[in-house]
Amino acid sequence: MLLRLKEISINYLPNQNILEKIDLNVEKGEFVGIVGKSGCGKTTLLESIGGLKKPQSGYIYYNNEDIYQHLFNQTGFRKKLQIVFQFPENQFFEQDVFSEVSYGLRMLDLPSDMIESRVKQSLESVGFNFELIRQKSPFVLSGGQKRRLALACTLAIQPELLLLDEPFSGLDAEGSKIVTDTLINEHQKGTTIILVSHDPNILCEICDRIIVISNRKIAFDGNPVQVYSKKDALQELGIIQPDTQILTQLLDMEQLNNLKYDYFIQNLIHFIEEKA
Amino acid sequence: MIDFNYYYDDSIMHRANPLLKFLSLIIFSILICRVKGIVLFIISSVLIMISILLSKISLKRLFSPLLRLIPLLAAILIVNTCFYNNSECIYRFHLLCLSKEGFLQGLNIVLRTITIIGLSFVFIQTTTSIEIMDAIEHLLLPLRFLKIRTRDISLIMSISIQFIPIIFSDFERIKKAQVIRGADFSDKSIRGTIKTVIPVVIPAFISVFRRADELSMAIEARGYNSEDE
Ligand SMILES: Nc1ncnc2c1ncn2[C@@H]1O[C@H](COP(=O)(O)OP(=O)(O)OP(=O)(O)O)[C@@H](O)[C@H]1O
Ligand SMILES: [Mg+2]
Repeated sequence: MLLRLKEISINYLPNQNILEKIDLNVEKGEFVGIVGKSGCGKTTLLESIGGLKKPQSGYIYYNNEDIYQHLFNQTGFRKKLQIVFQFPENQFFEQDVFSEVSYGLRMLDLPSDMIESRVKQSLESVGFNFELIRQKSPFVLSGGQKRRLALACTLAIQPELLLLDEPFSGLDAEGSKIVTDTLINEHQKGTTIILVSHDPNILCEICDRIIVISNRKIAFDGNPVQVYSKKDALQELGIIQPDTQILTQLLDMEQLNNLKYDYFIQNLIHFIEEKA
Repeated sequence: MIDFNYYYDDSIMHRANPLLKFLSLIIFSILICRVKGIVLFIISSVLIMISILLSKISLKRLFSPLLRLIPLLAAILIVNTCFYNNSECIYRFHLLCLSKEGFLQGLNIVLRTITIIGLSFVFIQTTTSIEIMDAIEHLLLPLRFLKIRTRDISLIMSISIQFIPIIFSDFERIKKAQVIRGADFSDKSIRGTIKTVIPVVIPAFISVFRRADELSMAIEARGYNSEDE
């Protein structure tokens, strides 16, 4: 078990729990999507998992070690877990792209040849040309490029567990596609990913498990089909279904056992042929 | 973190006229600086007690921002006790002169500081920034006869007040992000501090400037005019 939350309750003001007695296990290699209404505590949950906000009660174990315990190795933890916060491009401060990406690596005291190769690799994995971009100022990049750079800063650390908070907000279709592809790629390399997003279409495309948070609790937890097929319950919680699922129900098709777009189209063609 | 914000509640103090509250704050502050000794102590205690009763703010919350000032207050007391000139010394060593007058003088200053900060805190916690802006605008009204744009001044002041909590939360957010990226805030040496200050201060500055820019555009887009009534 990579990550285990045991009955955690979190609040900012006494007696006003934002999350209450949450239990959650994440295995190595999972790709988990988290959804929930604005203000339900998704960001707070990520901060807690990242060791930044201690729960008022309960425990968080990473590789069976309590991360809020006194003797827990914080530096080692930073190498294993990374968070991409919402609008991560607001954290840039270096003069050029190379220093920006290498900041985390320098903080971990890695040797310089290793830093260089890691920076190159991570910049290329988000679709940059290393030689062209390395000396540019982070501040002159476009919005989408900044987001990719922020992602590269995180990937350079080569984390075991990657947490992302709304990485697609403010991106156009092309930008979203690059980020999505990067995440799929990282996942295939073995990185465990927890992704908070409002976009059910993207979540269905890339996640193998969806968690719905509502009313301080985990309301649903399962694969995309199990969670997103519950039309009425989701509507009650104000959670949007993915287009593929909405269409399936609208057309009265048989429940798909995969909500990915390509799979849906194939089934749709089949369905139309049958009807004709 | 201390919460400098308006704290929503319903009390006599919350409903009171903001201009009246602001004027009372100024008048009582002047009064407190004018009296000393036992009179000061009595006036201070009464004022604080009345504010608490009228505003429903708990003693604990009222005094929590003062906890951070304890080192400063202690320093004031010590410096006054040790270096108060023209008085009889209980103990003398070169410049150092321990004296009772000095101690009492220090105590007066500490008491005034605590009371004024406490009263200001009550004011800020029970008055929204819009009300503060209105109150300042009213106060500045006479300046209009001198052709000074009072509306601009009050807008600038109220925006500054509103920006304080925003800047604080920006700082917190950026700090968290840099911790994840590997910044080590536990290193308290000078070199370690400089190394961690830059990754927080530069993004914070950028964010403040961006916010200011956006805000000024938004204000203009909504048709703000300093000549308006
Ligand atoms: N620093 C803070 N101090 C006090 N309350 C906070 C703080 N941060 C968040 N909250 C409160 O905690 C609740 C959950 O916030 P959080 O940011 O985790 O929600 P979220 O699910 O990420 O929302 P969104 O989808 O809008 O990003 C909100 O009601 C918010 O007002
Ligand atoms: Mg959030």
